[in-house]
Formats: sequence, structure tokens, C-alpha cells
Amino acid sequence: MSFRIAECSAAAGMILLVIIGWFQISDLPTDARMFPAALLLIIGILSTALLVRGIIGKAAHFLNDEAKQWRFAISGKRMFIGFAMLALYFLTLPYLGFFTTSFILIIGIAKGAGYHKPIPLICSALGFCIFVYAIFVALFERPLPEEFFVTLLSTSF
Amino acid sequence: METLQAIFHALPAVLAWHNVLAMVVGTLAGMVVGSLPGLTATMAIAVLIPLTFSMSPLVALGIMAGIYNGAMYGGAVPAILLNVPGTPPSIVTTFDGYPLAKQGRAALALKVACWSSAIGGALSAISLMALAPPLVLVTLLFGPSEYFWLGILGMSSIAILLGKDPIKGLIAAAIGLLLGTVGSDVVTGQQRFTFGRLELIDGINLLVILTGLYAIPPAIRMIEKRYSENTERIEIKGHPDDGFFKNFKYLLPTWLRSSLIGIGVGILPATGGSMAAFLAYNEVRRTAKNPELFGKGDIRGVAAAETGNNSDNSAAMIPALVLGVPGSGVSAVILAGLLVHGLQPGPQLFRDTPDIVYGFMWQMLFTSFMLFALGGNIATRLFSQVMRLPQVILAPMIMCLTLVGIYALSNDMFNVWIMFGMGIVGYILNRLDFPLAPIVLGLVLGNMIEQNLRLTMLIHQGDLTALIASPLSKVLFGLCLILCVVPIFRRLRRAKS
Repeated sequence: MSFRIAECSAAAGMILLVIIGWFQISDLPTDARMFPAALLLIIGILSTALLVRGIIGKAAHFLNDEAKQWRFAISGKRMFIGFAMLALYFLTLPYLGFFTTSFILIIGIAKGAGYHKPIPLICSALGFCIFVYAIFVALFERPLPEEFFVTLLSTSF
Repeated sequence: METLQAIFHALPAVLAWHNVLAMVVGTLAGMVVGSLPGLTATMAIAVLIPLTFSMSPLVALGIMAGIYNGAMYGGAVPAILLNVPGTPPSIVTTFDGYPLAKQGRAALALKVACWSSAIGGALSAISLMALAPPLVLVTLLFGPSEYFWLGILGMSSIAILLGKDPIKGLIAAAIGLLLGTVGSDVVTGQQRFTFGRLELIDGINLLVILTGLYAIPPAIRMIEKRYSENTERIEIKGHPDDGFFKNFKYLLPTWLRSSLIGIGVGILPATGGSMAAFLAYNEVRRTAKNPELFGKGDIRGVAAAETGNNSDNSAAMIPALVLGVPGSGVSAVILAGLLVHGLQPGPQLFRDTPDIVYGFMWQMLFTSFMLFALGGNIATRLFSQVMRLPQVILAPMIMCLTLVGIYALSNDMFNVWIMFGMGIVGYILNRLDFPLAPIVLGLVLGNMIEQNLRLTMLIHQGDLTALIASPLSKVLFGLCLILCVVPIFRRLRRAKS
């Protein structure tokens, strides 16, 4: 994807969000609507300017060589995997618990990115879990989703 | 005299053991973060703020001050050893730092960076103590319309001057302001952009947006780079002539000149450490008797860059603490940290909680001195090892840490998912060169801008001209106009040429 296409897509997306936002606040009384409406108008006008500028190629012209070398992601595949793993982490977290999912996430991401030294990897993941437990759970008493095996054991006995 | 008494009254609390420990931990953490390319002080503070929620304000601010000063120095370590700037302002440090390392004088370059960072940071903290209290008196002249224009001025200066593209900066600022309107309207009680979700009635927590925007995108960028072994060996050998007092006289003029430049730049909105470092480096080179040595490994080059960069730190907090308008991206995030701990910037901060605000100033000073103690040979060797920590392991750890802070805000996953969404938005905006600081600033200043606008309208029965009725509001409005018009003229001139 070129910089120009990406910029135009973002501008078009913002215009769409402005339209949705406009309908969202249309029922509000004037006083409460005034400020968000002004902001939506500003975003709409500026996004249109961005879109027009992108279509006529002005943005790429200003950026010169930078625009030519531009890439949305260093590796689109790894970016997608990164976000997907993070989403999976958040999805499974309430069921498996913080430490179990964090341990799996650290190992999974590092392995996926080409790190293949099992002992340092497991030690790092374990060390991180112990650090978080000691500082945030034991010392500062921060609540975190409970581990599935702890729940399982407590219901069994 | 009263101010001086208030400043010294705050000192005993700052020197309590838990506050000193917080400063030490913050400074060390900042150095580590700064020495890792790709991690910035802004990100470290953004990840940290939710974790400091249960701490006392002074402990939390001590950690933030330490991270701020520590990270700005830490950026010099990879800049000197690997020619890779750890933080954006340390690009200037590479000009002479890396050539020095190639000549086998890495230890001297690192020491000069450490001394310069400490001196720059300390002088900047003193300027904060000296300039902020008298400036508070100016704010007494401000009414609702003046506060409205001040907020607009702060927003537009960051939005227009910070990024490469004023249009994108302004869009980012408007997005920030819009995110701030989510929830119940304070005057009418009407719900805005809540989509029927009860969790959104009180609005989106500032920390959720901050963490999503600043912590997730860099972590994803780290994962994108495939892991490769770092084969470069780092040699750090000391020399008897590398002592502080042996170089003091030679470097003193550079330190003083660069500090003044850094402080001046820091007070101006939307300039930041990079500009301070560049200006200081150029000025020292311009006035040097042998400017041809710069760029080939001159310690004055390292000293100018690091002093300029660090003397911007506390100075950027002057407009943030006094007016609630931060001078840089990092100070915007620290300002958000103050708000999280219930501290509203402005004259009331100095009047109601002097021990905390002056305590923070002391913390900025002490954490600068701590660089002397903590940034020596042993620390440098340690950080050169830290730099070898694979980023593919570090990235998921950052992601997990963000969760620890955000989950605890309401003990459910709703905020975590909003943070994830903001992470995606932040990633896209970042890749398209939208500056993120205006979004944070929009969230911080949004309430002040809307409330003062509506108050002015209410007092003057909807008369819009009341916004520019007083001479001070006219001046502020004029400054806003200049700020918007200047980039257009500059672009037109560039297009012509």
C-alpha cells in the first residue's frame, strides 16, 4: 500500500466516522451538542482537505523520497499476528488467568518472531511473572484475573 | 519570600526514604528504557501512570521525574555505542559520540553524556523553581474567555508545530477533544457518544487512551522486526584523564551556553528536546575556535547535545504546571499523570498543594543529580548489556504490563478492550505521520476549553464576541491566528521556490 492510498483511506474513514458521530449527537439539546458538533465539523473539513490533497498527490509531493520508501508495516504478516495474539491474549485472559496467558504470550510472540533459545526464553517469561507477582500482586495488591488452575483447585477441594 | 519558604517546606517530604527510593527506581528504570531503542520516556511514563494509581502523589511523581531525566540520559548510551539514538533527541549525540567510541574513547563519551545530562537537568530544575511561582501570578488576570483561548493556543501550538503536517496535527487535536466529550455532559447531564454503554457514562479514562496510544504501537513495531543476533561487541575502557574535574574547565562554557538554550527552548510550546539539542550543538560549534573538529569526535559536541536535551526537561514543565499547557509531548503525559492523582495544574495547584508541586520540582533536581551517581561506569556496562535484551521478548512484556495497570482501574475487561482499540488507532495514526501528543493534550485540555467556552456564552447570553472582548483574549486570539497562518505562508513559499 502506498502512502497516498493509506492517507486517502484514513481520511475517508474519518469522514465516515464524522457522519456516524453527527447522527449520534443529532438528538442532543443545542447546548450539549455545540462543542462536539464543532469538533466533528473541524475533523470533517480537515479530513476532506486531506483526502483532496491525497487524490491530487500533493502530500506525496511534499514528502518526496520519504513517501516513495514508505511502508505501512515492516512486516504486514507479523504486525497482523502481533495484534491477533494480543486480541487472543485479552480474550482468554479472564478464563485462564493473568500469569498463565502472559507466560504463553511472551513465549508465543518471541518464538513467532524467530527467537529459538528455549532456556533464556522460559527464564525470561518466568522471571517476568515472578516480578509482576512480587511487585504488583504481593506489594501493591493490584487485582488481576485469577488463574484457572487456582479456581479449579479451590472448587475441587 | 513566601515562595522560598514554600519551596523549602516541601523538602523534608521529598527526602523521606520511600520518596528517595521512588526517585532511584525511576531514574534507573528511565535509564534502562532510554537505552533501549524504540522505547521512549513518554511510553515508559504512559505504562507507569496506571501502576502508580494507589501510590501517594509524591511517590508517583518521584518515579515519573526519575524516568523523565533517566530516559533522556539513557538515550545517549546506544547513540554513543551503536550509533542508534535511544530517544529522538539523542540523534545529535551520535554526531560526536559514535566517532569517539570508534576511536576507543567510548568511556569518556559516556561520562561526558552523564555529566552533561546531570548538569543540564539540574539547571533546568532550578529554572523551574525560579520561574514557575512568579508566572502563577499572571494567571490571576485570566477569566473564562482567556482560559478558553489559552487552551486553544496550547492545543494549536502542539498540533501545528509538533508534527510534519499541520492538518494532521489539527485533526489529532480535534480527535483528542472529541474523545474527551464521551460520557455525560456536565451541564445538561445528556449522554454523548456512549452508545448505550453504562461503562462510558463517566467518559473514557485518560489512562486507557494514553496507554493504548503510547504503549501498544511501539510494542507491535518491535515484534515486526525479526529477531537477529547482535554480533557487535561493545568495548568500554576507562582512561586516567577521563575524570570530571580534569574536563570541568574545558566543558563549563559548553554546559552553560547549552543549558540556557535548552531552558529557553523548553519554555516555548511544542519544541522539545530534539530542537534544544540541535540548537545547542549548532551554537557551540558556531562559537568554537576549531569547529572543524565537530562531527569527528569532539567531547564538546556530546556535551552540547546532552546538556541541551536535558535542560529542556524541567523547563517544559513550566507552562504545564502554571497554565496547564504543556511544552512537549512528555510533559503532556506527566500533566495527565498529575490529573490522575487529582492535581489540577494552575494557580490552585500552587495554592492548595504546594508541598506536592514544589516537591516535584525538588524531585526533578534530585533525579538530575542522581544521574551522576547512577550513570557511572558500572551502570553504563550494565546498560550496554540491557541493550542486548531481545526486543521480541521485551515487547510482549510491555503488553502484559499495560494490562496490569488498565485492568485494575475497574476490575473488568471493558477498559482493556478500549485500550486495545486505541492501540490499533495509535498504530495507524503513527504510521501515517499523525502526531499523538495533540490527542493526549486534547483529552487533558478538552474539559477546560469546553467549560470556559460555555461559561463565557452563559455569562454573555450567547454573544460570541465576548470571547474576544478583553485585551488579553485579543492577544491570545491573535497568537492563535498567527500560529495557524504562518505554516500556510511557509508552505506557499516552499511551493513557489
